Amino acid sequence: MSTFRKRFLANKTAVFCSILLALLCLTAVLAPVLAPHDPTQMFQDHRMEGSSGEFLLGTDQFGRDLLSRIIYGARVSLVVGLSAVLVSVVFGTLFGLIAGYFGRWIDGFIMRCMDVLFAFPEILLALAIVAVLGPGTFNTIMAIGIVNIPIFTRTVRGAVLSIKNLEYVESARAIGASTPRILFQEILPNVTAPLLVQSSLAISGAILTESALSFLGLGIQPPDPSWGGMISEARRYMELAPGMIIWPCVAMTVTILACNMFGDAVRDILDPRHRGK
Amino acid sequence: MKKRVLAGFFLSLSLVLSACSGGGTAPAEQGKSAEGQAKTELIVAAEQEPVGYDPHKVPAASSVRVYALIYDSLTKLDENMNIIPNLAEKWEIAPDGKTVTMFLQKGVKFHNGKDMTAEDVKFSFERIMNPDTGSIAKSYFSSVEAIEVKDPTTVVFKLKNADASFVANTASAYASIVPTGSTDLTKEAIGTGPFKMEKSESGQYVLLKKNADYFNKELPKVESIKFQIMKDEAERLAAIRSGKVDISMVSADSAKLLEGKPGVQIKNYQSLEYSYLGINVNKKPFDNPKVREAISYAVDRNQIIQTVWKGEATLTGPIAPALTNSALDPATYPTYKTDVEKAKQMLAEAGYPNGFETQIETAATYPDMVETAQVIQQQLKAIGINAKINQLEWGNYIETWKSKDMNLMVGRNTSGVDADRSMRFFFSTTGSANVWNYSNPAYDELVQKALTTVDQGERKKLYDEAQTMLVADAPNLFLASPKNYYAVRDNIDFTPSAAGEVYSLIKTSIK
Repeated sequence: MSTFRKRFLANKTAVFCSILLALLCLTAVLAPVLAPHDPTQMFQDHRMEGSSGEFLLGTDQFGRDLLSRIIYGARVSLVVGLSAVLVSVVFGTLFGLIAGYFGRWIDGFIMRCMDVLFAFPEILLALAIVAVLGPGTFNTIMAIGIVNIPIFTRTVRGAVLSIKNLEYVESARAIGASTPRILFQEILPNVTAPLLVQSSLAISGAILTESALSFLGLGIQPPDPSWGGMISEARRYMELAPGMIIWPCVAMTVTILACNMFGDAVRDILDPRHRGK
Repeated sequence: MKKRVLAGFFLSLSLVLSACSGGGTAPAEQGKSAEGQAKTELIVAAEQEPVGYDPHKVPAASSVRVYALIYDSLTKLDENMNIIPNLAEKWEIAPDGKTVTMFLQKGVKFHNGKDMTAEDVKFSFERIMNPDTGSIAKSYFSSVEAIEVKDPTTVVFKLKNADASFVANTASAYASIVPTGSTDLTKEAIGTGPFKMEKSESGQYVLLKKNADYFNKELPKVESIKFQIMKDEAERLAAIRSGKVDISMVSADSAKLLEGKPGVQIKNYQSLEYSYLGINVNKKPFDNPKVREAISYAVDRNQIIQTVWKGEATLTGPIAPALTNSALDPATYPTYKTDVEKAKQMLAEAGYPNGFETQIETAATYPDMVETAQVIQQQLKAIGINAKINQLEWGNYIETWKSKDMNLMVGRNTSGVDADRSMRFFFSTTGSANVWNYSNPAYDELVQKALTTVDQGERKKLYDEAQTMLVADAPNLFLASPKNYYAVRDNIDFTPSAAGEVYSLIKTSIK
């Protein structure tokens, strides 16, 4: 682990991105302290204003403070992104372990189901799930979570296949370890590396999907601020109040970029083929 | 649940299909409108996809604007809301008001070449009144007892009681005349109207061709009309600026943006529409009139006018102010005064001193509805009512509206051209569009009495009383009646009015 830490600290991108992400998390957690106003409070006399001392990034069509909405929006994005990925990681890992370890018809059955899910474009499947469950934060998380399950299942299954016949697994089996013990204590720790890389990439995907759903009005419901929803609303006022669309876009771009670059960097660090560069 | 699963499936299916078929037509269309050839096709941006063309079954505005060009009604309304002849060239009302004789235009042909006769009129009205049809206009004609064909061009309507709004109701597009024997009007659309259905591509456009045999030889003035489906306001704006479409409805915000831009003119009129907050009076806690009154005191209608409509709307009661001779001045309604303290007090009296949780349903496709919902949500928060907003996809929204099982719902109504529609159709116990479970015998009696009163002064008094009663009972909060805006290209002679888009489109010419 100490070698991992050394390599991590030596990788400038990884360090820079993790600082950015940490700041973002901090913003999300401290939103009530940082935000100058209640994100849903409407200042009737300050509709669609530019930057000012009171409203640093200006206001939207209802006179709500944009900065506060973006800060609270970070919360929504991160909560949805992380929870959705957690859902996919839990189910994906479980399915992947079972499919990879037991093989035969169980493997066939699980992987064919995953292929079916895979066959749908991501956003289309998420839309269909939301249409069935109804809009809302929890349902958005579930929809995005379900959509991402196949990727994790595949990742974990692949890793399990290459690990399950190694000597240490054989020996665990030889001393009579139970199947759950072998699965969760012997094999699982060794698939964490690909899982970590996949997760950090999936988070940015999940944030994007959430924005897309909110953009279509089917994700986070107003007046809760969500970057995607803000962009969607601002679109109609693009020329009257450009700040309304620019700032959420900037916030989103920075976050997605940080997540993606962080994921790439972690992969470089963990992947033996990239070492020594 | 099953319905929702199904809806989800179709949604995904339609997305797949639209993904497959999108974008194929754009280049061809640009080629056609190349210069040198005189432009004869009028292109109108349609913000919502039509959902069928059966005039007796489909009330959606996106469909009406198309089928009202294909079909004709017996009468129609002009810019000033006067009833003028259409398929009926004149009519006579017996002194007791119980017999209306319609004399039809001679020589009117359906698009399939058949003559339009009194039989077709009888058939159409019987189809509307047949409960199996499920027509939205059924309640318009509930006073009709019998329809007699006197000769091929004379129809006699025998009424159970005098019905002062009968003739005005025949002007509705929902009362279109269809050929005898029509059963399934979803597959074909054969009317007598100025345009014929040429082609309809789901998700893309609806093309109508001029009916050369239209009974008014001077109309229409264009060869064809194409409704280009553009659900996104930004897309419509770009299209009207570049001249890709000739006429487009735009929001008040966009109208401001387009003002003074070369090639485009902005035209507006006070619409017959109004936005409302619907309240399900069967659901707890809204079954308590005090709660509804509290909500009315809590909602600041002026803020909605300022925020959502940017000041370009007027306060309204159940009858839109554009119907000048029926609408009561909103200043007379006591609950229109915003008074948060009073609202809190009423809520406490009703047994909810700490408010309650509820839901506001709204349609994701209409930004004005979503914004109205947000303003109301904020205002209700002030008296302790925490409302969750649910933006629904359009089909889902309509289903919810029909279900009579919503809590609060933001929407828009067309007040109609006669007080009877605004009042009885939307709020009488048996009214076709009363989805709020509102039932007040005193109100029913008032609007029924107004219907049978032929004397206009007396009638107005009854409607004034009914309006006051309705606003006090508050099954709906009537919010704002917006101006409607059209962006029109300079070379198009189009003048919108409260008489409706169709009325103007027929007369539109290309300069």
